[in-house]
This record gives sequence, C-alpha cells and structure tokens, in this order.
Amino acid sequence: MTTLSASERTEPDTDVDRSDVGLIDWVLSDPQLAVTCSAAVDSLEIAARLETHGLSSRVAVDSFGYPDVFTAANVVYAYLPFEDVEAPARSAEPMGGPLDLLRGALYALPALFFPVVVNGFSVHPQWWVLPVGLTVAWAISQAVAAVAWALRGRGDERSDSLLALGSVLVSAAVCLGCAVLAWRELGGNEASVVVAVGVAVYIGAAGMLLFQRAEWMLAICMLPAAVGSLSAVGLLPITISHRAAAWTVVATTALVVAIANRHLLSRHWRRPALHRADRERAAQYFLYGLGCGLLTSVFIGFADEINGSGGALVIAVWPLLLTLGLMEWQLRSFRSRATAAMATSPDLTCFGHRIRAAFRRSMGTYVAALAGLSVVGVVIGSARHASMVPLLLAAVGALGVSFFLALLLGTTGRISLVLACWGATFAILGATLAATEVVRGHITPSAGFTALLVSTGASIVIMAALSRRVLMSPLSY
Amino acid sequence: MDIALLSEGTYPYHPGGVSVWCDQLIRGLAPHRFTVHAIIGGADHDPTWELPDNVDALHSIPLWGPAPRPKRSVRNSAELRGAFEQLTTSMVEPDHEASFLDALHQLFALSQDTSMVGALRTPESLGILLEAMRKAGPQDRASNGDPVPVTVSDAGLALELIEHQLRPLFAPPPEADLCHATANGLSVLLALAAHWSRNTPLVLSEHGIYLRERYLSYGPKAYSTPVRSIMLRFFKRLTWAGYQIANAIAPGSEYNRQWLEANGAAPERIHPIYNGVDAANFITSHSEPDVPTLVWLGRIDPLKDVETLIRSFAKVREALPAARLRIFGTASAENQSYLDRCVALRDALDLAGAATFEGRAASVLDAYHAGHVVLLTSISEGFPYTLIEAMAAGKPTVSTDVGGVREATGDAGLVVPPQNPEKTAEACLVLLSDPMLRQTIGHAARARILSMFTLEQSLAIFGDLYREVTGRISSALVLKRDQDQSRRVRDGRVPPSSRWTGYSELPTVSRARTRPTGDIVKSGSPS
Repeated sequence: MTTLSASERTEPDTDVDRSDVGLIDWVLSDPQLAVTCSAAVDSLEIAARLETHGLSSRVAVDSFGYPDVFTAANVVYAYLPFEDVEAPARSAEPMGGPLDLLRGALYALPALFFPVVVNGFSVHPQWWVLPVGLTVAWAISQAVAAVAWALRGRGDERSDSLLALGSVLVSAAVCLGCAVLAWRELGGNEASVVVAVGVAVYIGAAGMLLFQRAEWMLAICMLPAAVGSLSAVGLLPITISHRAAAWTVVATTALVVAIANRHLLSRHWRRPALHRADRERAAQYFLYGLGCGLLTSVFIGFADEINGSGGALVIAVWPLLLTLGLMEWQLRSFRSRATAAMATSPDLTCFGHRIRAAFRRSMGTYVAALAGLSVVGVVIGSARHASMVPLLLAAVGALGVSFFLALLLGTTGRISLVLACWGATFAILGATLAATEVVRGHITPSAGFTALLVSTGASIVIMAALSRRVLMSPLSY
Repeated sequence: MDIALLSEGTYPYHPGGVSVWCDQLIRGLAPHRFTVHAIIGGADHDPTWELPDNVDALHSIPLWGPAPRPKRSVRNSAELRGAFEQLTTSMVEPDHEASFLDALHQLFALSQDTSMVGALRTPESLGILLEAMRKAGPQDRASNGDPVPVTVSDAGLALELIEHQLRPLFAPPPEADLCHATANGLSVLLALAAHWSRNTPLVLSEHGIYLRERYLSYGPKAYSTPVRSIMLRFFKRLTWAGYQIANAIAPGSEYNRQWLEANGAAPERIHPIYNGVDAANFITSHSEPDVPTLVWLGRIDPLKDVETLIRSFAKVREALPAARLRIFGTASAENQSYLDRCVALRDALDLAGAATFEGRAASVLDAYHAGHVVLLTSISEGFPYTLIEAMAAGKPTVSTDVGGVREATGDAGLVVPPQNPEKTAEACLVLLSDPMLRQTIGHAARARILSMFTLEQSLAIFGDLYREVTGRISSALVLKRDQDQSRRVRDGRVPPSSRWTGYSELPTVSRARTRPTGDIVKSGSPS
C-alpha cells in the first residue's frame, strides 16, 4: 500500500469541492488513517474511522464546516481512491516433503522391536498380543489426540501434560484388562499380557510425542532400540546379544514414556476442561482408531496361522510400513494444494479442476509406490518360494489405500463418514467369513485374507465415492 | 412482567460495562422477572456473574459450538436455497433492506420444522454467496488498482461466518412479555424470532453502536476486502432490521443517536437513556498515593485502545519520571493476543516497572482511589461506566472524545481526541501537577453524577419504558421523562460552585483553513 501524500492530491477530482481539501489533508496527515480510509468498503466505515481519530460530528462542524461526520466521510469516500490492503492470508497448510519419510520411519521402525523382545526374552506370546496392544493403543491415542487438538484450538496447551499421562495410564489399564480377558478366554501366559501392555504403553506415549511435534525427541528415544534391534538381526556391523537387544527396547519404551510426560515436572499443567462436544469427538475418534486396529488385527490373526511359510508375512508387511511416510507426505501435500486452490480459484469450476488434479496426484503417487514395492515383494516371495505372497500383498495394499482414504476424509472433519465405512467394511467382512464357514465348514488363512481383501476393497469403493463429493467441496478445507 | 434480556458476548459470561449494566438493570427492576438469552462464542461456559434471584432461566446460544448436521433434504431444499439467495442479493443490491428482513423471516419459518443450524454449509450456498460477493466490493469508488478478486476461499470464510452468525435465529424463540436486547446485531435475531412467533415487543439498547464497532473490528487487517465487504453489508442490513422492529431504541447517549438515524432508525423511537451509578457505592477519598499515579480500569480490548494509554504514559514519564500507571482489567480469550501486544509495547517503551497490568480489581472503588487521575482512552464508547464511576468517586478524569463521553463529563473532566498520546499526556500532566485543580474537578464530577446519572434515575426510565412498550402506561410520560434528562445533560446543569471551565474544549478552525487542522485536532502535521 502506498500512502498518498497531500501534495499528490492538491488537485482533487472535479466532483469534489475544492474546500474539501482541508479535510483530505487532515486525513492524509495520518498514514494509518489514510490507509484505513483508502481501504474502506463504504462511507460508514470511514465515518467510524474518522470518529476514532477524533473527528466527531462536533469537530466536523467546528473544524471543517460539515453538518456531521457522515457528510465528512462521504467526501473522503468520494475523494480518496480505493486502495486495497493485503489482509493476512489464512495460514496456508505446508506441503509435505521428504522429511515426512523420516516421520514414517518413526511409525515403521517399532515393527522390528516386537520380534527382538520375543526372541531376547524368550517369551512365547500368543497370537492375540499384537492385536490387543495395537487396537487398544490405536483407539485410545486417537481419542486423546482429538481431545488434545480441541484443547489446542482453545489455546489450552497446559492440559497436554495430564493428557499424556492419562493416555499412557489408560492405555496400560485398558490393555491390561483386555489382555487378561484374552488370556482367560484364548489361552496364553503372563508374558503375553506384559508384552501387550508394553506395546500399548509405547504407542500411547509415542503418539503424544508426535502430537507435541517432538519427533526429534522420539527419534532420539528410539535410538537404543533401533541400534539394538538392527544389530540383533545382523543389519549393523556390531554384535549384540538378543537379550541385550531386548533390553534396549525396554529402555526405549521407558524413555519414550518419560519424555512424553516431561511437562509434568514443570508444574505448568492443569486439568483439561472438557466440553460435551470434546467427549463426543473423542468417542468418534476412539471408534475410528478401534476400526483401524481391528482391521489390522484381522490381518495379524490370519497371518499368525501361516507364520513361518517362507517369510511371506514379513514380505507382505514391509511395503505398507515403508510407505507410511509417503502416505503422510501425500496427505499433507494434498491438503496444501487444496487450500492453495481455494485461495486462488475464482469459481467452483476452477476449484473442482484443481482439486481433482491434486487428488489424482497424491493418491496416484501413493498407490504407485505401494504397487511398486508390492511387485518387488512378489519377486522376492517367488524367489524364496513363500506361499500366498500376492494375496497377502493385495490385502495389505488394500488396507493401506483404505487407511489413506480414511485419513483424507478424517482431516476434512467428516469422521462420521469414515465410521460408516468401517461399519460397512466389518459387515462385509463378517458376512464373507460367515459364508465361508457355512460353505466350507472352516476358515482357512487364504479365505480369511480373501475376505479381508473383499471388505477393504469395498470400503475403498465406498470411501472413494464419498471422497468425490466431500473432497470436491471447498467447505471441507 | 416477564422480560427476556438478550445479550451477545457480555452478560453473564464476561466482565465489562454492558455486563455491569445488565446486572444493575435486572436487580434494580425486581420484581420484574427475567430470562437471560446469552449469545456466546463456544459451548459449555460457566457464567462469571452470579444471577440475581429474579432471573428465572439462563439460555445460552453458542455461535461456534458443533451442531448436528441437518438432513440432506433440508440442506438441499429449494426453499432454503431461495431464502439464502434472497438474503445475499438483498445484502448487495441497494434499497433491498425489506427484502433482507423477508429472507430472514423465510429462514426462520424453515427452522420451525427442522434444525437449521449448519444447513447453509453447502456447496450450493457457497456458489450463491460467491456470486453476491462479486457485487459487494466498493465498486462505486475510484480505484488505484485492479478490482479486488473474490476467491473460493473468501466465499468459504464468509459463508462460515454468516452461517454461525445466523444461529440465534434458529434457537428457540424467547417467551416473554417483552424482549430487551442489550445491543443491536445478533441479539436482534432472537428478538425477530420472538416477534414473528409471538409478536413480542422489543426494547433495543445501544451502548456502543453495534454497527460502528463492527466496522472497527472488521478492519482491513482482519479480513480480505471481499469478506469484509459482504460481512459489513450483512451487519448493516441486520442492524437496520433491528431498528425497524424495535418499539423503542435506547442509545446510551445522545451522541450515538446520529448513528442510529444514519442507519434507518425512526427518530421518534429513539430515547437516549444514560447509564447510572449507585453513588452510595462510590464514596470520595481525601488521600492520594505518594507517587503520581494514573489509573485505567476496563476490559483489555482493542476498542479500549490500551496501546494509546501506554504511549501516553510514556510521554507523562518523560516529564514525571516517578509516575506510575496501574491498569486494572482482564482480557477475554480472544483478546489475549491484544494483551500480549500491549505488554510487549510497555516493555519496548521501557515501562515495565512503572506500568503494571494488575488483572481484575478486587475493589473497583479502591482501584479508582489508587490513582490521582483516572484515564479512559477508548476509540468507541456508549456511556462508559469507568468514567461515571470514577466521577462519582470524586476522581478527576482524562477521557477521549468518543460516544457519550462529553455528555458524561460536561465541564467536569478533561476530554482529549482519541488515539492522541500527546494530548492525553498533556492533560494528565495538567492534572498531576495541580492538586487544587484535581480537587475542583473531582468535586464537580461527583456533583454532576449525583444530579444527573444515578442508577435510580436510569432504572426508573427503563421501568417506564417497559410499561409503555407493553401498553401499560402512556408513552407521553416516558417521552417527557427521558427528554427531561437529555435536556439537563445538554444544558450542562451542574451546581455553579463546582463548575469549572478551562481546558476541556477543543479549539476549532474554520473550514477555509486547509493545513493547520491536523495539529489542532490531532497530533502530527500534514505532509
């Protein structure tokens, strides 16, 4: 904005009386007033501005000879040309980038820790350990994150501390209850319960660190377990015993829990003031996390039955784990392109074109990467004569795509649509498994994976259809 | 009589002058029964005011709380689309005020069958608003650049704002003999609902001027021009609607009458009613602090211009290095950043030890007596309590020439132009350096309050106005009563012994003078 000086305005427009120059000079003598008057959308706005700078109606009469401040404002409105002031842009969402791949590594690396603990401590965990730990932690950490974001939205950062502690304690307590129940109903041992609780506690604490944007702290905390685990599986040139490696995982878990709760020491914390809406939102995100956890658990449950079949499970899981960072990258980039499209599109048609292009780009990149890694998996599986690798990869890939779509819908605030999709997915999964049971009398792993593939495929179709309308609406961003 | 008191962002959830006024009004007008309908930002707040016994219920209407998503059939209905299109068109077409009111009525009628909260959040509504926004810019004005483009983002933000602002229209209508809105604007949506459902009469108070304050808060740095333009048109039409349905309009000062009339209020419905103080609560004190001390008391809010207060104090300190400034008041959550800005300014001016932010005053009277002079630096006011309370406590005041300030002070206080630290500091120094002058002005101020602005007078006028509007007494009596008060204020009738004239008048210049106006009315010379 360039401010007009009085000298630039010594010759007013023809429709302005020359005696108005005194008023205009007075306005221009104050740069701030000149800017706001030039940017005014009507003369009443100028009247309000003039009053706040001392030009009341009384002054308008006594000093300038106008009947009131409104007449003076009309003169200013007619005389000063409009000049826009650049308003602060709505904060544009940042694009994703390669750094997100590192963030993805933080999600993927713990997959190594589990076998290291199992081998190192020579425990014989039951198949339900990971499903219970993962599902409980996923559901609770989603609920806690929803509450934490709501509190952040209200400028409340002091509640983070108790939320972090609450997340860890609740995850531990709920997981303990579920694990004991599973032990009684499905068989097992104390070690299974302990490992399940450990998994839940780790995920709950790590989730809080991610919410606190403390990725670097999480990475540092993970160093002992990462070094220990990679050494134990022979991927590092140093040798370490399995037991020592297992202890590094325990140390990492303790570190993550301690660092996530570091704000408790500052005493700068308070009890979160939760509204009814917060609780409802937390419940929705709890169900969302529960759905994600249960779908993953179905896969783990059937995978347990084929464990040892040429490493098929490991081959099938890694494409998904390796693309978690890419998923985050593409999600952030999509949202960034969407908000940029809003800020620059003059109409809905233009916005529609741009959002479709952004969606194709993000989803295409993710699916291409997942497919590429899956092809590599098929080749490796074939070389190692592992069974069912293509089916496993297809099921895992379908899970990945459905999680990506769910995240896209979730970030637009339409978590209820995702819950409906999860509902449909489980209905289809249940129906398919029940039909298999009726027809064949039992459910083989391959039938289980096929049912999972069919149901997640259906959820992809449903979410893609919903995404079309939701993502195309500017009101979603 | 059952009265529905309609508030927006004030009573009983927030401190401030309007909330003080509401509390006094309700308590003072017992045995009338009140229900309070409070429009608030988010959901689930706790009131900060203890509700008097004659309040039967408190209904909160959150603007920004989450709402259930209306049915698809409602969101996609042709009636809704038609009503919204009429609403937006009437905002941008000249002389379509009545059409705006009619569109609100249609939206209200639709809300009688189903929940309408959130129903306008559809791509179709966005498209309609986008079209209207293209016509809403200052197109009748010469421009130094290209027309400001309207983007989908602008329309999205404006739709979000309008959708939330309209929510009070869809709340259950107040059930009472009378609605009393504490301000124009969103409270009027509740009054409109009561008017259309039960033909409930409305008394409309205007302390500050709602529309003027919207113009100030929707400034160029707050939103883009297209968003400001459409939102201000929305508020302009809405306040016009408020003036049309109000049976009586009660601005807090005579000065503010002109804004009402400029926006369509019928002059015969305007009855200025001044705020009053309970003088028994504001006794004088003969003692003063040891060091020269200025006191400011109020809500930390951009409209109160605390930044000018701090800049003025910096200039006072140049002449009186021992001077102190004590700032009593709190900032709401949305004004926390403004408070931070003020604290940063204080620190940048190296006033950290001398100017103190002391939070909410435990005792308002003690706060006034904690200084030699009480300041008011607002850029917009109705009839400020800080000023009349300080005057009642016998304190000399320096206040900005906004709203009804001159009517409050008369000759019994110094008045300076707003946003002018030099003049404000100069006035403070005049008072700080002259104990006799402080005493004289303090006595005159208290005498003026006792004769003109007592709570008893204010309540009596409102009581009569209620009865008149509901047809229980003749309007002539009310008219005579508030005309009497206005005349006394205009005439400046205060006891001769306490009259003081010497500083408060601003010099005037003739219209023919083209340059020197700036340094008389305000600081700084024209370039």
